[in-house]
Amino acid sequence: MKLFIIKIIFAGVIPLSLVFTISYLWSTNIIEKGSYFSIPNEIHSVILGHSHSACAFNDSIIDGFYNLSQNTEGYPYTYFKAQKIIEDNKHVKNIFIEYTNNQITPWASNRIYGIYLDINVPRIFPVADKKFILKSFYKSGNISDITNAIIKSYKSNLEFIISGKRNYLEEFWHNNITPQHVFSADTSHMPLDFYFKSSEINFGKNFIDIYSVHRENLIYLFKMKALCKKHKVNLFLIRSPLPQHVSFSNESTFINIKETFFSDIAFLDFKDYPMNLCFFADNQHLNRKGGIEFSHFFNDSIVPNGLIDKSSLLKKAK
Amino acid sequence: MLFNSIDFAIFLPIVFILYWFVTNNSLKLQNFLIVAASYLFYGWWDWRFLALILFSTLVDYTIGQQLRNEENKLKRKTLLWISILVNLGFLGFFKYYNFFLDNFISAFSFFGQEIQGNSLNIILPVGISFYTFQTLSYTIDVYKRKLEPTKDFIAFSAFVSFFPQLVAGPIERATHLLPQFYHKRTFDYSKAVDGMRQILWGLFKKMVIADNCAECANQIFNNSADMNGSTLVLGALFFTFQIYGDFSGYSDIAIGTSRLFGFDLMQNFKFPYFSRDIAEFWRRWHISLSTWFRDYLYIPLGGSRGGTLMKVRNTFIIFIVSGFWHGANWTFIVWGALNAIYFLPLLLTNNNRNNIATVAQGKLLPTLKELAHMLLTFGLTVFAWIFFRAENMGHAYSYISEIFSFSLFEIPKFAGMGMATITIILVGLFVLIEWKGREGQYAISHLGIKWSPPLRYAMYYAIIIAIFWFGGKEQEFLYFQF
Repeated sequence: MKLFIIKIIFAGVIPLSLVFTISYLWSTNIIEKGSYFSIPNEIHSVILGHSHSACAFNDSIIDGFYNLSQNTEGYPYTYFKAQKIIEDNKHVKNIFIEYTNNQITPWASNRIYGIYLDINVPRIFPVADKKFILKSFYKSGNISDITNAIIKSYKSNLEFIISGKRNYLEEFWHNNITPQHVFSADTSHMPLDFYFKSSEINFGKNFIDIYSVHRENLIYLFKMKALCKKHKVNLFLIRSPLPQHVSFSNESTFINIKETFFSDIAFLDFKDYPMNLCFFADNQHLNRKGGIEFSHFFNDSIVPNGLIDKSSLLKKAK
Repeated sequence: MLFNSIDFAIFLPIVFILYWFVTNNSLKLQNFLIVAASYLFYGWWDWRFLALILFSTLVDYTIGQQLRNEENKLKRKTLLWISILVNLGFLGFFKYYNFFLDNFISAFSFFGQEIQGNSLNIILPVGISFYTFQTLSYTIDVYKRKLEPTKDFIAFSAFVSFFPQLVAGPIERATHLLPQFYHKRTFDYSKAVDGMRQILWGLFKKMVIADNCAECANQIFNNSADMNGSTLVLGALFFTFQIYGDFSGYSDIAIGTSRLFGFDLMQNFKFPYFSRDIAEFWRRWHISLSTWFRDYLYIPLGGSRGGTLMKVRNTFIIFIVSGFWHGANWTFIVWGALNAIYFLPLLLTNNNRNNIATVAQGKLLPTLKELAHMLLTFGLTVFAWIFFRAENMGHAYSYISEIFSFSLFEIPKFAGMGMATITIILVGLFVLIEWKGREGQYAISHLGIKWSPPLRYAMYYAIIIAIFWFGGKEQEFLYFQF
């Protein structure tokens, strides 16, 4: 029996764990220290956020823009991305962050260490603050999700290194556009109430308690503000288009937070931008057609008219 | 709790250590630990259904005790029927209630009669088909006086709920497994090592072969209307390896885990895709279920002893019931009937026991004749799996219709072709290893045994790396739903 356990430990568990840990640290270090996060020189603006902005902005249509938004992404992960982009790409002058109602709800914790842990961590693992990752693992408490997150990030690391690709940002942030099922949703032939059942999205009572519930997500939005200020990069908040009949139960809190903490940040609010329901995949996302339609509008009307010029936008808001 | 989950990776060593280091001096304690661990294992999925297992255990234990002293034939028969009705009653309610209701309503409406019936939102308890058949085997064997009823309730509970095979078999016979709970187990090094090796191979089958095939098969079956014939053939092939990797992988892990605790479970799969005819296939596929039906249904019905009509009837009954056991859907019934049609010519011409020994025993390669027979049997099996996998009969019909069209000669094409290519290479490698090890209990049971330790360990590490590298997020085992 002892021989069996000793063999399992010394011939199986220990060598495999050592190989795993060493190669994990090695691959992470190579990616982190390497120059794998470059954006083409003609790109001056980067959009970051979760599925709303991932669906709304088609960067092949918008000149000078890169959309690196990915579904389920919480602000901490967006922050780590932004940090790496700004540090490695001095020509990027504008950062657009999706600021929308569901980012301030208690549910936002799922975007940090909840059910989406094993989606978010692998995408940014090489550039993330490892203390933050460990803290998120601790808060998650879900061994299965944590293991999946570790294994998936390890696999992404090795796949990237072995494949000999030169741009991690392109491979895992830009080409990995999500969520596909929302993009491909075609609601034009559906009865309207099939997808759009409720006109008010109710986030429940707790959203009011911003300091105790979704504080962490917002803290990273503050950090983003400081980061952009430090590097003299313009920061914009954006809210992607939403179906016009949709209202949010936390709208006043949402606006209140914006006014209180981010009054000096320009806010491009397209919530009420008029778009036909056939351009939406559901109550919160544009579909592929909608993304193209909106991106044409954004490229043709917003960018040339100087509305992404921070000072003019702030002036206009006032 | 899934075998391919982190939860199980933590659970197993803890139970193993408690079993061999804490409770090893007392048989009762060891059996009690198995019961507690098994209930925890099952409750991890849904604790509410533990009551079902407990109730089934109590019913069959009590009936066993009653049968011990009962000599009156009628009373004995009544007791047996109580057990059958209770066990099959649960199974019928949870698994077949909605199916029968829907079909009754459809049948009445076909004749112009409208009847009302409310379908229930019933959750199917995981593994109910497996442990129900296992407990039934106890009562039937006690009734037939093949087995002395046990007085040891803990041992009996452990037999019913034994966690390695509780939710997806092998369906053990009471005569084989129950006595193992009466005797003190001693740790056997070679048995434990063999168990670990079998677990490793089971994980490879599940996580590398089945899960990757599943992704391709799902893409093709779920979008079959947009696929050409050759892609649909590819989808059926992927499903063929998915179901084998999934189910036989589970059995390997179950048997290997049992060996760690000093138990022997029956072999459930003997390389069925190397069969030379359908009769051989059914001697090698899901052996514990096939033999269960043979012993408790086919033989009591008269087996193949009667005239031709009797043989035909019994064959159809056993295959259709076997199909229906898998699920409440006409597709499973047709799958069963199709296998009966495949099997009958062999039975009626007395050719059903032509191929007993392993193909090309002691040789590297099969003869051309053997190869042709294997390919034909494999082709028939793949065709039958289409019904098994299809959502409904309409889906199966359209799937098969498209296969038998000119698009069969086009190049296979679907969104996951890149992944499919890697999966095909993996399956090819897997088939080679299975062929090499086809005379053992499982493919790698003898592979590398005579190699030097570094080479042997290199092979184990390669399998572990493959599991890690190609294994996706943990997925449920297919047979949980049956």
